[in-house]
Amino acid sequence: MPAYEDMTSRLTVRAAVAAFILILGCGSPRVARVEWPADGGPLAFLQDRTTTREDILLTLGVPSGQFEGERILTYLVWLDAKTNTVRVLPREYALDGTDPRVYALSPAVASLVLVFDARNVLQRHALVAGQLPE
Amino acid sequence: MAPRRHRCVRASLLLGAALASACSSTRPAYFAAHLTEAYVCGRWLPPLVDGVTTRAQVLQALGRPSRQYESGRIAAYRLVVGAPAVDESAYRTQVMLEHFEQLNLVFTREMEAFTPLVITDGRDDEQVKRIITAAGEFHLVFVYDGASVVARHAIHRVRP
Amino acid sequence: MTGARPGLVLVALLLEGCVFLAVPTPEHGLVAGRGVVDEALMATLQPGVTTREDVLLQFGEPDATIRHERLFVYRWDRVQGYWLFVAGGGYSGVAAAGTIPRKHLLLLEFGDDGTLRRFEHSSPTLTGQPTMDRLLGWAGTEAR
Repeated sequence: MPAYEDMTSRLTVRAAVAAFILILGCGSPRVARVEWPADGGPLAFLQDRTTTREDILLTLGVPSGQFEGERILTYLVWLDAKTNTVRVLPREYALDGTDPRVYALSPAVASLVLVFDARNVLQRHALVAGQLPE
Repeated sequence: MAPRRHRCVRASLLLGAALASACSSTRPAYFAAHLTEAYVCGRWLPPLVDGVTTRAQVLQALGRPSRQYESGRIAAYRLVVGAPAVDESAYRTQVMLEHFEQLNLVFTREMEAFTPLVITDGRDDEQVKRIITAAGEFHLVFVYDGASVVARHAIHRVRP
Repeated sequence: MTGARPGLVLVALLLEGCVFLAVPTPEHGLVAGRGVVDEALMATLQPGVTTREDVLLQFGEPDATIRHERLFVYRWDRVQGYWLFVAGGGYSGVAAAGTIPRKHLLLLEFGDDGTLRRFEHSSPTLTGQPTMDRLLGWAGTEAR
């Protein structure tokens, strides 16, 4: 797994290059659910109706957000397709910080959303990211 | 050719910049190698043994958790580690004044001054400041059994 | 796609060697935010039907949450034009250029049962209110 400083510098470079290309209008990420990676990988352990909240907390750590009590948990993650790794990011490091009261999340960061049932088992989940148009 | 005085000033600035660059690029690498889960566990936590360590021991070491789930059965801590008050400019000045070959000693001494802080309110200004300036962040998750003994636990280094 | 707003016209200010140009363009690109929330995605929002859970699964974690999860904000900025400033005199000069961003906000309000009550896609003008002020003002109005 890459060191945090390597990751943040690559995140910054990636975001900067993406921003440069995006400003030119060569592509605009559009928020959408994504399947990553298609053949499993570090998130393959997430199985609806099987994985427990306990397993997820032990594997991913403290979520960046939670809603409706603890029924819905969200993680901000950095996806590295090259190394096939997922890195959980603290929210403070996933922000553009353009407005100190309403931060804008960086396009290089994806949002993992996990919904649990009353038995504390994962009911459904989604990975949401800014996708470049095909 | 520039006057001798100007060449000396320019050389000093270049040397200072090189030192600062070396220091700033060495510090994250040092922390990445030394500020590990094992370091945090060894320094601030009781021995974590599933089936043995109690909730009371964890509370005594870390205090109130950042989050709790399933009526307290699962406790999660967001722990940032660093100096209580970080003055980056003073740090860089100190490092530049130290002998270059003693950098490891400087970083070791800096780590000795580290204190842990459990984040309980992500909107508190002081806690946000500590998050941003921390040298490291670790997430600890404890699952307790009916007897308030740790049944499972995990520790993740989020950064460096 | 929205065009340039009325009033944002080509401006050339000639003052003793200074030139300032503001060139409006159709909206494009992304200068802030995770991504553009396009009309197709917004069309999935149905007040009285869509739940907070649905929104999170489709849009991800919001950029801001206030009033105990009753209000979500998603925010993204696009380019609506470019500005150029050139000043020169004698043998020296300075030039600078940049984008003119347009801020987009998707504001959502949920009821006590977690169901969407109302939502609004807002694009404040250049001289509009700061984001949080606009959000709090919108949150203070009654749902239609």
